[in-house]
Amino acid sequence: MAEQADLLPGTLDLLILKTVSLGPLHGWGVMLRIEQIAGGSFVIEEGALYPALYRLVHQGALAAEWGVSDNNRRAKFYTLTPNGRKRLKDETENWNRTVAAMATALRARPSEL
Amino acid sequence: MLKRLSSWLGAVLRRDAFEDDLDDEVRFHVQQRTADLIRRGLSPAEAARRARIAFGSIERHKDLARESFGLRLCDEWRADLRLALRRMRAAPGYTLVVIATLALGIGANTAIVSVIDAVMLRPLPYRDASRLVLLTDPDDRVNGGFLKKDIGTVAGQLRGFDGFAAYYRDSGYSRAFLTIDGEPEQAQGAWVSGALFPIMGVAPEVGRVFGQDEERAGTRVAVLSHGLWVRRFAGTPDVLGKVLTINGAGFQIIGVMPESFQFPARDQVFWAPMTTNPYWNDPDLERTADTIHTRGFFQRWQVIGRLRPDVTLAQAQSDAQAVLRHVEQAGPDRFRSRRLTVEALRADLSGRARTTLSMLFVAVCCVLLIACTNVASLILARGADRAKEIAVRTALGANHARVLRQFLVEGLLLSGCATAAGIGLAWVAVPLLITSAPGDLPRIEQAGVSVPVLGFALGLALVATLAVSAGPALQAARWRTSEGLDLQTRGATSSRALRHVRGLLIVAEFAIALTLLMGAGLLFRSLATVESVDPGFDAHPVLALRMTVPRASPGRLAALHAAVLARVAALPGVRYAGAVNDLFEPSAPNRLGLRAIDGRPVDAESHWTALSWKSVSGDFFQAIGASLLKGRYFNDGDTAESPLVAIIDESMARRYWPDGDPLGARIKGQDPRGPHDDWITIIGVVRDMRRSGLEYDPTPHVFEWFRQSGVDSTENIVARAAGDPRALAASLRSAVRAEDRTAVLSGPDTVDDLLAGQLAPRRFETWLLGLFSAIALILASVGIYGVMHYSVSQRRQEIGVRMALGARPADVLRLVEREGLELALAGVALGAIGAAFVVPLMSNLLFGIQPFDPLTAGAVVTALLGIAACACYVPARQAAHVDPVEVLR
Repeated sequence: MAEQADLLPGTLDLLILKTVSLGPLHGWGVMLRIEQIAGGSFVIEEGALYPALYRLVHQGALAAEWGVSDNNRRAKFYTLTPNGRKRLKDETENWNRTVAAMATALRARPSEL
Repeated sequence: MLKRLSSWLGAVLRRDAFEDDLDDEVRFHVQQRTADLIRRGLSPAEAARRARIAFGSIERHKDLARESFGLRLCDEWRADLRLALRRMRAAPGYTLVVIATLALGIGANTAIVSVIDAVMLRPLPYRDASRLVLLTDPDDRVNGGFLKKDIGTVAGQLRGFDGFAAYYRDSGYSRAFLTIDGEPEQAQGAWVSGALFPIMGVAPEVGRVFGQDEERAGTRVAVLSHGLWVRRFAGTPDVLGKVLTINGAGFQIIGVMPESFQFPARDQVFWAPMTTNPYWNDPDLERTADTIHTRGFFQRWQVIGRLRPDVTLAQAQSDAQAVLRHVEQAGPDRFRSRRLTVEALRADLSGRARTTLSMLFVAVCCVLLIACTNVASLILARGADRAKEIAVRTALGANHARVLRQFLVEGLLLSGCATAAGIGLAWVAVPLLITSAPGDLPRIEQAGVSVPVLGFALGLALVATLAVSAGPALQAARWRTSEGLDLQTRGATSSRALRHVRGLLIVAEFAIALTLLMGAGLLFRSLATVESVDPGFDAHPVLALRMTVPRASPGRLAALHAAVLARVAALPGVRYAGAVNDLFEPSAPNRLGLRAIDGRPVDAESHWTALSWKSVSGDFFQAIGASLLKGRYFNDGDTAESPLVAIIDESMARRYWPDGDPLGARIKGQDPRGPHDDWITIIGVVRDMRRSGLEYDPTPHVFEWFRQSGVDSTENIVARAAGDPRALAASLRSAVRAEDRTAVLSGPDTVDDLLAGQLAPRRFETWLLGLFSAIALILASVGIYGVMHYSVSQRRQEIGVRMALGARPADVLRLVEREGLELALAGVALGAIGAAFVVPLMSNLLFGIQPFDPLTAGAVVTALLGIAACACYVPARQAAHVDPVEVLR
């Protein structure tokens, strides 16, 4: 197996929010899209998606509705609520800030201290 | 926040839908992955397998999903509850014993607390009752108070009061004859200032109350009590405007007070302005105000005031004292109280009643303690069975909190059922308590399971829960290790620790039981002692009937009484008939002394103690069964013209003639007798008659002959029956009625019945404490039986070994018995120490016995040890019958 990055807590939630922001999806769809976007560098246990989805619904970031999938099966679709949209924006900003800060910190050389 | 709550609630209420949804979703996902893998070329079976692996543990993720919805706690509690219920159903006998034991403790406690709540704790039903104060004479609480003439002056000079009202404490002068629709009745009335009602701040139930205007004008208006309104006026609103005839004068009814308004006493049936009291303006009384005879009237006006919000009790007191001194200086009066205290209005409860209630409360707390101890002990023993279960659960992943929660739920369930049962028990018990309660507990009829009492019961439930869960919780800590798994197999070491703990609990139970039994034993002996006190007269075949006639002229009254007495004496079945003006004494008679004794000085007023003058007629002494010690009784030779004579009792003789013979001595009382303030000669001495309660020292008496004493009427007719006094009752009544139809009759009652009523408070407290002690004893013996039974069943191997090594069954029996008795003895010793502190606190309830009475102590200890020995007998016998061969196999 290729090198797998561990998913930090909270990043799965962010990923889900991002994928759902691109359009309503059922759980399997979210799975596929995460694989697409992340390009295979994250491999998560598929089942772990569902606790995260349920948590986001409980917190009001996602809304869930039963609908019909492309292959005519009954499936639960998730969409982003306004709350969720805001949260996506805030957490993306947070993430970028953290990454930038970490990058700067990791570039530091002994002479700069 | 709200969103989470509503989402959680939705999931909880539609749980099945939630579960189905979750299941469908997960299933869909796995199927999609399977399809995907098949598309990539795997075989269906292999695809399915890989899909499931990729998903991970379905149940675990489902669980996590449920947890993120906040459902986990809910599920766990539900599981705990189901498990607890299953365990309860699986052991019905044990569950029943636990619930019954706790219910008994909680129920008894709740019942007593509802009584205490109604009688002592509830705030008085007056507006802002904490600001109400009484001004009394501390040296003479019952009779002391304000002189009539002082009421006006003092009221004007006291500062710090928002209002000030005088009222007349119930006594002979406040007894009134009521005539309603021609039907006479005698009852207590309250003669009060117009300011009373505004001060108390209680609105009338119907109509209005009177005020200071009516008081000043002396308008004849009356406010009825709820009881009288319902009893004689059918409780209809048209009572307003009707006329109530009080002592022959018509009073207009202007209102009715609610049932809860019981001021100044519990039994007055009306309130009227004090200026309308027939004695208030009686010129005769004004003239003879100096005499002891009427002293009581003028001194008995009590005063209640409402303190200003910013004034303290101490300030009001010093102010009142200063005013009193000022008034005394302005015009001295020997009948004025010397001191005044200002004290908060409290529930009208005697010190003795307070002690009784406190004692009963302590007793039920002890019973509850023993009940909880028994239950905790039982549960500890049963808990050992669960060691394995706990160990397995811990191995499967339960953490400590989870295990503890299980015990908590079980405890809550058991104590919840027990509390419900206990409250039901109290509900039944409280009415029983009310009917059997003596008269000295005010407002007891209001006792019930009210909201504060319920709160208290729930508090007890919490205590019970702790008792029930604490033991297993502490044990569980040890079972979580692999030690727990071993426990079922080996059992010896840790069960010894368990036996120690249970043994300690038994010691505690017996200690508490000893204290209770000691108290009960002392009370029973006190009761027996009181009942065996010689009343000084033979009351058994005596009937008493009180006849009062609405104000008739003295001549008519005297003639009436003579006629009635003659008729009664002539009845067949009556051996003697006589009369006296007061059959029973008040519990706090006046302090009095003689004015003069011929040939010696008398004691000074400061040395006066209780003394009572009574007037008798007919063959009173023979009728009541008195014993003549010296001299003679009155006879027909004693008339209004013959020399004044009197009969005294032993106490009187001892007080004034301790060394000599009182016969023939000549005395004078405070009020003059005869045309020239003549000397009274003592012609006889009778044995003391304890007519006011067998527990009290008899009051010294001087008995005068009615023709010579100037007393209007000797109202209490006493008839001695030849046979059963009850058979005479009807003929007695008709004999009296034949002479006067309008007389108000009270009775006839047997004097036995009247005397028995005096013992009611003592009987009440004695039997209640006895009941609680018996319950405590039963619980303690059940406890020790349980412990010994368990001990024997755990030690069967050890017993087998002993027997194999030569012990005989008798030795084993002795061994077990001795162990049990050691526990009991330790409990008794501990209890003795506790009792030494607790029992003296009830000294004022004891009569004729010391708190540390050795006979009672010995009896109680013997009884306890005896019962312990009996309780241990069955387990001991079981131990003796152990077959070593079987056990050691």
